Amino acid sequence: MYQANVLQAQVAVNSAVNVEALSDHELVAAARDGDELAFQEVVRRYRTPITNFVYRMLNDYELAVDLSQETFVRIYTSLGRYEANYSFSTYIYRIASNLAISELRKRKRRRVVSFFSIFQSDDGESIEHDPPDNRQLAEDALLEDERRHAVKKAIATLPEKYRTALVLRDIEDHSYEQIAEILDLSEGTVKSRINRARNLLREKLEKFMAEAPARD
Amino acid sequence: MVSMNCSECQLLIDDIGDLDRLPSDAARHVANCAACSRFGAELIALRVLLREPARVTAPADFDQELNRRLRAAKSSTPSRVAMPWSLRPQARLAAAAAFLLVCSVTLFVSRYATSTQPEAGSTAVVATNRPAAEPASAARPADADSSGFVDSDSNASSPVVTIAREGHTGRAVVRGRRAYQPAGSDDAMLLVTDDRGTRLVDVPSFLVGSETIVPADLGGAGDGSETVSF
Repeated sequence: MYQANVLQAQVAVNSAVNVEALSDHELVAAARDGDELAFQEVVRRYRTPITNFVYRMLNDYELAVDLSQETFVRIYTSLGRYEANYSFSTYIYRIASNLAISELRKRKRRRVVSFFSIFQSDDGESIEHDPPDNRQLAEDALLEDERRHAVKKAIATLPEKYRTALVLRDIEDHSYEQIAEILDLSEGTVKSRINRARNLLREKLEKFMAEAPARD
Repeated sequence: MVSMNCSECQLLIDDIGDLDRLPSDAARHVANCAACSRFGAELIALRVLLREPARVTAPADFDQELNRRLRAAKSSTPSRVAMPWSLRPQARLAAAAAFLLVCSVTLFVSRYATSTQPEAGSTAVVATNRPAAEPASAARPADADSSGFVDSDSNASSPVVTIAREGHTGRAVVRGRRAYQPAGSDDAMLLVTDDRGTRLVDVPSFLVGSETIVPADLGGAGDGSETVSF
């Protein structure tokens, strides 16, 4: 009995090690064949990048987590339909971006005038509301806080089609080719949208760009 | 040496995202080009700003909550109908074969049914070689078998010709593509039923063995008709 348990544990450890070595396509193929460990590995690889991407699109952490999970649910329930025509990364970002865009459109339709409307951007999207902290903050911290809010607001006011392309390129660091696949657009259109988005952001963030801290 | 143009240089800056890591020819271009230098500085400053907020991470209970949702999704999904693209290769092949078989049978039956309809406007529908549509006695004349007539096509049960009779000269409007063909002969014969009874008539040999009859095959009438003497 003891030996059987040890053997079982050894098999589990080996499987866990093995799935880490598999490519995304191999993992999806294994998951399609019912390998739960393979799907868990897909989730482990992408849960944070997808949550971060959706968060940067929506500025709402709870919603980002929710839509990130919905992305995985959709992938799981359509494993059988997945075709390895392009990278799995493209596929998962496409689903996530569609969900995020759909959420942005829902928000735009709602346009409910409420108490919180004062925190809405020009196109009706909510801007994260951080009440001022009454603690004494150092000047640097205040400036950093102001800058962060300005950046979030600037991104939030970008039209959705520009925002998605810009977040994928300048925050998530995807190539133009990948973005074109994710958004199902030509590379030329993607470049044009990103260029337009950058110009809009430059106008809104001009004050902060001069004093942007150097990256390490 | 061919110098780099601004467009190429800006693509490189966009791609590499660091002016200090540019290849030497691009770095030289940036050093001498105010537009590219400004482009690079602005792009890098913008990216620094955009990436400044710390990346968020998935919460600790992400997997737990996801598993709960997956279980819920599985239990709420009605038993899925297996679509061909969701099947394994062997099953896909079997499904494709079954699909082709059904298509073939459907096509055969529909053609069979359509071709048994008399053509509107014919003065007299008189001929067919489809045994099932003929009187039992005339379905396949005894002399046809005995004189060595063979069915030149496995689909010969489909109608071949409809003839509108004009005295002793009929216009043959070809509907199908096969006629009965005497063994060893290029001539075909049609089983014709008209007011003179059921009999076999000669038709031009070009009707025999042709996969598809087109007007040009019918002696140049150009309208799918051919004059046949019988």
